Amino acid sequence: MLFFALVISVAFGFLSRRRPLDRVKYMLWSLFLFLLVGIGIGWAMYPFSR
Amino acid sequence: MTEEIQVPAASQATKNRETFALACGFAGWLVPGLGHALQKMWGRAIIFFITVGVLVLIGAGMRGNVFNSDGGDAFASLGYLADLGAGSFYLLAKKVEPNGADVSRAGGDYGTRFLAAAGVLNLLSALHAYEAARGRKG
Repeated sequence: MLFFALVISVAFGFLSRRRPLDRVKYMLWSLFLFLLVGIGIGWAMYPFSR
Repeated sequence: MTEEIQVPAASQATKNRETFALACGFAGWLVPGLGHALQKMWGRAIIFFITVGVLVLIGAGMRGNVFNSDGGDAFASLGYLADLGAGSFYLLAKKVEPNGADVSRAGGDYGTRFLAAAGVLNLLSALHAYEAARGRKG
């Protein structure tokens, strides 16, 4: 999941921003949100997993 | 008189630009990053080639499902459309997977998602190349 989020974040950064600094900021923000949502959904499913 | 001459010239330029934009979009779909490379956007071209290529290779290496056109249900058809988005890399995925998919393991299931994500990402990239060639995006 971490690798997937990393690759997609890099692609999104290059896709949607033009300046290098903006790209890095967007990549980090996108990566953080990917991980947050992934882990959040994982925990949200926890009560139903047993 | 001057306006009469300039209007057809502008129209022709617009037509040429639209044709070039369509060619960039198609090239970007066929080979990830090629649509940007034609516009000398080297950074984006390399990144899209690498990211789509890596996703396809890992997805196929994990023996993810590469869908065919004869899908039995709506999900298989949607999966086929997503996979087809990778353009020529769709064929590469089929070559990398000579033994076919194995989604009985979690790895195969993850691989299927990697392949679908590669296809959709490449479609986004091709659309961006088309829009950039039309002058709508930087």
